[in-house]
Amino acid sequence: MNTKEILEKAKPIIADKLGINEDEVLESKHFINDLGADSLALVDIIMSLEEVFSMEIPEEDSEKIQTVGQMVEYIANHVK
Amino acid sequence: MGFVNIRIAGWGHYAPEKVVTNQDFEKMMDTSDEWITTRSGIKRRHYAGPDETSSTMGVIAGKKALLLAGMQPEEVDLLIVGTSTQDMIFPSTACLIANKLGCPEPMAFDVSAGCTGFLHAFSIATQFLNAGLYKTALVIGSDTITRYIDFSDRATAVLFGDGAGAVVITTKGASKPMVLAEIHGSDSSGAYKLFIGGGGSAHPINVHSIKNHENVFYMNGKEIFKFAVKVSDTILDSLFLQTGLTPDQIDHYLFHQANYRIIESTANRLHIPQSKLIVTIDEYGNTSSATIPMSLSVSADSGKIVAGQKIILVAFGAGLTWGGMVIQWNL
Repeated sequence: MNTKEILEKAKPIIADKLGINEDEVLESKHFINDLGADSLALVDIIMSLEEVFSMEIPEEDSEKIQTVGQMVEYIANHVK
Repeated sequence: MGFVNIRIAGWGHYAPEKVVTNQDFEKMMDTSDEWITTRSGIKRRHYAGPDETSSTMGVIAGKKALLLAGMQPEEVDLLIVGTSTQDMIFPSTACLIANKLGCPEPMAFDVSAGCTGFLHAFSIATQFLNAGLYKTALVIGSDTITRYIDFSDRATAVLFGDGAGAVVITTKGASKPMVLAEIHGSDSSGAYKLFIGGGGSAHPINVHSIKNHENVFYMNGKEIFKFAVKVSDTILDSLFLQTGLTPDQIDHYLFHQANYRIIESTANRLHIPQSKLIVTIDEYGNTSSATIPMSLSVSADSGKIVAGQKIILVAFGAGLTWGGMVIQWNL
């Protein structure tokens, strides 16, 4: 799965969790500073993405994920 | 599964008089009502006064439960308290409560399982009733977590309150099984994600431990959130599988009141309607082991819970521990 496909699949999930529009979910956006997430919302998003992409994102890695782009890239590099 | 007939004879709860609002926290630290409410669902919490303890609160809740049951303290064969903020290292809070209530010779002990304490205690009590060893049990959840709050940590300081809840269960006059299914467990790999270190044998209270902040509450909030949501899913799956019940056949869902966001996340996943959720966190915050019996008592008092209804109880806490039960509110 390439990053574009991952982004398309992740968009509705992220938008739903944050109560925002799907087209606001751009790779350049910072979850907390731009999209209004807080730490628990970010955990909630990560858990849903883990389920959808059948993978685990360990805490030490999830702490480094700050933007939508970083999330997509992480999934692209780790998804089986 | 061969559960014996049990009925819920009485219930009671107690929250201390002193109320601490989000506005009070705004004066103490860099926070706001909006910040606290959106992150936790908490508006108010009750703080134990200087003379109040887990046992004094438990006594008041226990007295109410016995009064409602129309039972004398002598009838209590078994008294179990779920608590992790016991009055003293020993004797147990259960023995202190038995003494103050005037229960002459019950088997009395505490269960330490963090916020799961009450649910483990409730399960243990039903096992003794199942075995026929005892007829009537008083089960209490009581915690005074605010004694251990780290007021320099704004993320955890606002979450907790004090309180107690009590339930009297008995086989006397019971005509139906109360427990329909249950599941309990622990994952000790998370033992250090949620703890109060000071005061135990590893870090006895002394100048050193106080200086190092070992006497206060620590929680890795993100990890605990993840654990709580995941384990709630697992518990519910198991309870539905065991009973063959479907989510719509359950009248009320009562999750440990740790954070409304945990409840919301689980409810959304399982499409549980808001009307079936029992929520008391806005008024009491997280009272640890007391959230489930307090919420049961509040809801039974208000008429939200009525005879014959099926309720799912879900708890999770330090250990990390968890428990889930499907009970029928037999009166």
